Amino acid sequence: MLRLILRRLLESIPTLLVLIAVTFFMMRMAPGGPFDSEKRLPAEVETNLRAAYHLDEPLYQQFGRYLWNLAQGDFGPSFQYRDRTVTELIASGFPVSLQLGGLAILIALLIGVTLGSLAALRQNRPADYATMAVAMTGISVPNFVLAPLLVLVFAIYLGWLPAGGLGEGDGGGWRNLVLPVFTLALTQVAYIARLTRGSMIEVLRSNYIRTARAQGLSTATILFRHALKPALVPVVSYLGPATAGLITGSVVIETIFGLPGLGRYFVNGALNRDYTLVLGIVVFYGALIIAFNFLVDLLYGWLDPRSRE
Amino acid sequence: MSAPAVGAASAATIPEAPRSLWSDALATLRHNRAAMTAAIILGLLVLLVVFGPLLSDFRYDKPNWDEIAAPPLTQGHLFGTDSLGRDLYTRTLMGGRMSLLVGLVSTLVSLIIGIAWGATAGFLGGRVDRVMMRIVDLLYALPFMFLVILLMVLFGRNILLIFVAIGAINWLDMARIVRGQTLGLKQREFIEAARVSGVKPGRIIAKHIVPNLLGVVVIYVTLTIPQVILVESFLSFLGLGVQEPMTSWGVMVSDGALEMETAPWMLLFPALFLAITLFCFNYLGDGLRDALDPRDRSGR
Amino acid sequence: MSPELLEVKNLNVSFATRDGPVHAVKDLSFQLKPGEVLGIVGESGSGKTQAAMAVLGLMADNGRVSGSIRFEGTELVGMRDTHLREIRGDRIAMVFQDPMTSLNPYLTIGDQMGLVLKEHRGLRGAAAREECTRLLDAVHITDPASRLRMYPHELSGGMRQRVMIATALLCRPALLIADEPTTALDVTVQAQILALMSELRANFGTAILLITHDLGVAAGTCDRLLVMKNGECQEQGPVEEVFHQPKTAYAKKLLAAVPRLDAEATRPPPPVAEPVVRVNNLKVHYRIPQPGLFAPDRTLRALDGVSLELRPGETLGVVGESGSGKSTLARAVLRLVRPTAGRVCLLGRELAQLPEQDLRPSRRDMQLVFQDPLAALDPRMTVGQIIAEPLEVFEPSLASGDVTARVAEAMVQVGLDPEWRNRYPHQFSGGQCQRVGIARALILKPKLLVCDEAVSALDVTVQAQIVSLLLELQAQLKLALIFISHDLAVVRRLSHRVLVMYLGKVMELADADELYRAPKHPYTKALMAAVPIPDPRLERERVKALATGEVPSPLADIRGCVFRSRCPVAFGRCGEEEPGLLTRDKSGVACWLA
Repeated sequence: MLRLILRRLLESIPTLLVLIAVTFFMMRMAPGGPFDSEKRLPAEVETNLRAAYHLDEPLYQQFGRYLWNLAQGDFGPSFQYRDRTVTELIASGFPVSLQLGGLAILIALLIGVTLGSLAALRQNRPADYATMAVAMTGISVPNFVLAPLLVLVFAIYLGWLPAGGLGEGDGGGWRNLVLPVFTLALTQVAYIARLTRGSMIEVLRSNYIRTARAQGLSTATILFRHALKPALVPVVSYLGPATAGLITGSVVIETIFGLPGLGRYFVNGALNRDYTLVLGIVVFYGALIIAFNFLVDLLYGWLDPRSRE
Repeated sequence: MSAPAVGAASAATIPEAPRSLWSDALATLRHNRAAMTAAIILGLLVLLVVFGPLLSDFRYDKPNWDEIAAPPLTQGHLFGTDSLGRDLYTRTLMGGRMSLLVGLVSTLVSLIIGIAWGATAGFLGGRVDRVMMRIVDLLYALPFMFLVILLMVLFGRNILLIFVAIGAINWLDMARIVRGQTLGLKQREFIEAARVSGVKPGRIIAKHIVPNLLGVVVIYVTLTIPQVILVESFLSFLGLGVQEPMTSWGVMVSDGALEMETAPWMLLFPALFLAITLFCFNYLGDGLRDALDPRDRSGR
Repeated sequence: MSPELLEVKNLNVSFATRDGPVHAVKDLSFQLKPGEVLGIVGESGSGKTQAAMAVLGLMADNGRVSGSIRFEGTELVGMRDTHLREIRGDRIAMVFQDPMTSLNPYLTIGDQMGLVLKEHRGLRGAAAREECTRLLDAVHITDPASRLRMYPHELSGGMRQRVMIATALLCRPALLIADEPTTALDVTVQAQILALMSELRANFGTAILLITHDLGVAAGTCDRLLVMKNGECQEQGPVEEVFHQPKTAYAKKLLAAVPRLDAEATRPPPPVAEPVVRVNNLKVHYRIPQPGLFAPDRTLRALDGVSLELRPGETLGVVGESGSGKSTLARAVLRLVRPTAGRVCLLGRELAQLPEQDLRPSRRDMQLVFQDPLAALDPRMTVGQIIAEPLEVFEPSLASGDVTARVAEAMVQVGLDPEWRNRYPHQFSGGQCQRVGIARALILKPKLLVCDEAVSALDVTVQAQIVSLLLELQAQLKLALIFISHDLAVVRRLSHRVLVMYLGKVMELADADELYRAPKHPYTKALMAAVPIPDPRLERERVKALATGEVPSPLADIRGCVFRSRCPVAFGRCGEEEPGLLTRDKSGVACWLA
């Protein structure tokens, strides 16, 4: 077990390095710099600023310096938010995104698996067509279309839910999460429902389900004890891309709903050439995805006894 | 030359007219009403998008300060106008051209890279395969979207760059699928039979492997196009897509969302077209998958 | 209250498909008494499986059943599924063909058995485990307690089928339906399972409805027999009557087509000539890397020293069970796999280690016919194109008209109408596809033809046709034929000499007549004993010295004789030294006792 973790760590380092390098050099080699968006600074002030941020050093040296700091957990200062470090920004933004994304994936799994199983059990009957049509909508309507629509309906016309922001803490805050989480989750609900349906249909056609039926087991027993585990295998494999999708989606959702999460920081950082912030977020998410994929692999191993060594 | 051998196979089933697997698949597809409807709608859409702007009275890029944000069916504007007074109908169709174009070209890019990579890895097998798929796994772990956003921000909104960048996101999936299929095919008896008959590897790939891959490729192309269109819309929404006055559905949705309360038609029409297109591609892709199901090789 | 356990009257099963209704079972009637064994025999498409599934109400959604099925006096047709569920697994149990896919790979054996006990008897926990252990004992599974914690993939094929049988008997059903229960198993294991089923029937008093295509199995196990074709009952009666006094034409045809182990098939020896192929001490070893950082690679000895020689017009039969290496032998001789050691000499040319491009010209002289007739044909090509391909490789300068003529000639030679050359493989039956495969193999008139289980996937009547075809073609073309099969009876009809393999090594090599009359090696004897003879009288009188256990893993490093672990007469020296093939004028036995 320990060996597995160690090996995984070793394998992820090249990935991370590639990620960091690509992002780093992309940012540095692009036209424009971090100080362009503001009004023109006097030349010497700019030179001093550049020196202070080590921007005048050769690229490979900057890269080395960055890696060194990174190893110590220091993502560097933000260029945009002058008085805060990137580490602080990530630390403040991540919990927001985590809450959003975590809830979204949980809801997506629960609703998606239930809907997909239902559709599989009632294959080619009205319930199936209806569920899959809803799922299709979730895939075909982008969340940046859905979000404004939902805001329009629920926040402006009906006034049931707030239109954005984090809310004033102490209990009132959960209302603010409903729309963002739901919008974020919907696309994944759709994918997971379709995936579960296809997988469940295939499992229900397999020989061992035929055996279970011949043994006179009840539908509930067959579904929950025999069919569910194998049917979930592709869903578990999908969790990795699902997380990536959520991270991407969070960019839109946080922007539309005005939530101070990492997605929003990233977009603003990119538009404002805040090198360190952008780099920091990319590296952070990259490491997160790698760790998450590892957990998913472990989960997969637990689920499928044939894959254990 | 001798007379027909013992037990000439005239008993049992006498085969009917030649019926290839493709025609079987087409027949199955034709029975799938959802998929056929989707195909027809898509066809109509393409016609509309290509010929519509040519037949329209208005130009998509000409502002008209007298008719800003006019509702639908006023003064000859079928869908109304946008915040610069430009005809929404023509703009929606022009946006469609761009979105579909991106869909096709980027999918082509990911197709070419994906097939080349996957078929090579699958066919050569062994260490080459392991290394190539390791790279794919590596790249899979990267948050691609972020990198694309970065690219767009840093290097400007070059239309070619958009095509390539979006294509670069999806080729990984295509490579994985093609490689899986190639590996499976390699072990099929008819490939062994070709080797026994002395067929050279190049000819095996060309005549035996590629035709048997086409089915899967067609399915995934149909399912990738909507994903690509979605990505492009997303980038446009963030302000990173095509440049003015060129437009795409994503740009129009982004603009329309801002005017949602006062001029909902600016959001409604492009969003509707976008959703319907994606809907249809997905249904068609599903239908193709059912029809070309690689497991069901026996036909009947 | 009728004395019959199961009474089926005018059973009709049809399926609604896009091309119209398909009638799988037509007007079937039969009875089964308590404790009786009824065999339903038929080829593919006869409807035998559908009839069995209908008894339990297990057809697909588009299936329609009409007629009457009375079990213990209750009418099952039209019964609600909730009531049927109480009967399934409790009063009527079913065992299926493929134990690997019929068991849930995600659950332990104990879990799967426990679910049945929970559903029908309300047993859980320790009480359930105890009952499961008792049944596992009854089916002779060693160490039952720890097996309960295992997953299906950790057990061998024979053990999995035993588990399936044990699960079926958990609730002491009155009727056991067994659908081709031994078809997927090695023949020695099949014999063990059949013996087990007879024993259980005696101990538990269960009636058995045995569905099989194998007349030998039916002869040995069944009290009464029902022969089906195209969904209809052709003939029914006590087993001896059906076998020895068949009334219908189809039954007679079926019985005539079945290859028998004890048939008197002597083939005149082929004329003396230069051997077409000479194989010397051929070995194929694979290195299998092991999990774990420091575990050394292990060697899989797929083929471990086989020698043979074949003249034009001669057939060598190669028999063995799974893991024997017979398929590897085929592929090594044909150079689809590069041998690790040894020599292969075709028409005087040494082929074993040649690089591929030098090898290619020799390929026209050696060809292969595959086991799965449909899978051996590219589904996207017409059969005409498939047959023509070798021509296009070796005679590319042929005009297309000539190619068509040669293809037509080849098709006629194997009994196919040349008009069919534009059809696709999936439009043909299994037998016809195999004819296409043979036409393709023979279009360049090779000197050596290897048939790797070429008739194993075919129905018995079709099998007989293809075997006759091969015999005729061999005579015409003076083919040297290597016929590989696990079916000893089929091999007998075709072979001049027979090679018996086990775990990559040769156990015995002899003239066919001699081998079948008086086998020398204990393994050969065990194989012969295990093959059921389609004759009820003979089959029941036979004394069978069955091999115990199952084939060990080819990865294992075995010291001494590889058959030792299962041999009924093994002694000390067998575990120390490996007996080489002791040859005496062209035959040999690898045994210290020979």
